[in-house]
Amino acid sequence: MGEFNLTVLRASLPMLLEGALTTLWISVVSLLLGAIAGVVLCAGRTSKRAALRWLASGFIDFFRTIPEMIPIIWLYACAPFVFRLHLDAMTIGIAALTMISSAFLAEVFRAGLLAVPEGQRDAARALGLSRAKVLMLVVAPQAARVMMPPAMNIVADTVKCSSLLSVIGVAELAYEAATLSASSYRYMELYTAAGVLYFVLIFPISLLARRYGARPQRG
Amino acid sequence: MMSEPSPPPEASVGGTVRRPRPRGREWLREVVLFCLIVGALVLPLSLVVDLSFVRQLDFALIFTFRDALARGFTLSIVVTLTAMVAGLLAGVLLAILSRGGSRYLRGAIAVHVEVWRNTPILIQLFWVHFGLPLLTGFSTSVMVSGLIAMTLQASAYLTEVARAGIDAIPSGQWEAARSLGLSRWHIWRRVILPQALRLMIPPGTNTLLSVFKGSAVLSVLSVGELMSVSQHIANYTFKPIETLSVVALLYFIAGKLFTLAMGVVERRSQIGGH
Repeated sequence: MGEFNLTVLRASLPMLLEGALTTLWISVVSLLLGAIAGVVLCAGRTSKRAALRWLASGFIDFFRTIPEMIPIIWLYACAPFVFRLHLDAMTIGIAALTMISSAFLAEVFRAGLLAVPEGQRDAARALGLSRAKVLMLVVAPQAARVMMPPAMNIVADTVKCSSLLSVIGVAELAYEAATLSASSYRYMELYTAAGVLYFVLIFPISLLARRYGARPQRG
Repeated sequence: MMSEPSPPPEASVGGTVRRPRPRGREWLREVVLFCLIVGALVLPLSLVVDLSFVRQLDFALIFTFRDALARGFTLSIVVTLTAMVAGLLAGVLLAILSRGGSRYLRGAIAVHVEVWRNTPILIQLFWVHFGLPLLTGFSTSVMVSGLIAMTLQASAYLTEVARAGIDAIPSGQWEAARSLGLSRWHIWRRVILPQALRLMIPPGTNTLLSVFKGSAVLSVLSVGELMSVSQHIANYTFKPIETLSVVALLYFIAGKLFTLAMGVVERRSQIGGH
């Protein structure tokens, strides 16, 4: 039992890789949807209307504070009671991850917008650019640079968080590792392999975050 | 997960965010608008949502489980604080060791930090609980496994936090302490660490929150913290909506209390003049 058994690994590697692909897919979809929702939340959070601000900041604050397990389990356990249509675990998992990542991304976007000095906006307006052009040509490119490191951290966190979907039975990497190890009793090998695969997915993202964050912006 | 990006200061340059608070009649208008927006969001949902569940909501039933919930809540907090304190000690120690020491030691510490920071807590937990016993020969209880995994992860995050804190101390402090003839121990104990620990409070608050959120993952091993308790109650009563909503609120309150408490610690530890 003691030594590392590589034959088990060779047999289960295809399944693990398939799980890793699913993990990647879930993360990408959740992050894309989360980015869209994040922009909307960020617009609400910085809106002139107090009502919009309350709503957006309430949502953002709530989902940033509660454990990620909560929305996942809540949606999964409560969906049959609440929704008329049947939702599969994958859809529920992506919905939960989207809510979480949108809350975090909204704050990242807001921080990026705030980091662009007001004078930039004023100057661009004074030059006669329309509001949309100011946002697209002046504010967004500058904000994007500031946003990169924290946004990359959110990406890494979302990949990590997607492992929690194994709890509701989505066949991603952590789930494959759990089922394969439970049938072969090679826990050490399979969880190490899963850990390595997660590391391979997440570490490059962390490195990106660090590279862009090398020059901290101090006002 | 989710190491929080520290929120930007309100009303910074230009103040695009801080708006004057609505007053009088405006308040009413905002409240009405708020309801309208909520309505606009809820209405399309109502096509797919079966609202009959609302009539069956029974929060009183959850109240009968208050003792179990309170125990779970307490355990969540205790587990969080234990992992945090142990992780802080380990993190500060590793940060100090990685400043001096051999290249190999520094490399080992860097590997430790990267491995535990770049893998999900769920995998770490299973690895410690199911994998490690096959290697060491010792089985650990779910509680101990959970604490080990959480502490290791916290130590990795806090090593980085401690390192940043120590690096931020100006070299003049080192030179002054050395020229006063203080021993290495005294320099760390009396000069560097007291200042570095203060700088560590804001990023440490983020780590505390993510450790706290990670504690809910222990429910996969049924450790008996709040999330496990809530799942037991939800299965037993067949009332997941009430149970999980109440528990979500409890977690939210606890998270807010942690943030508030750390804010107090930060203010208390400020040196005069700063």
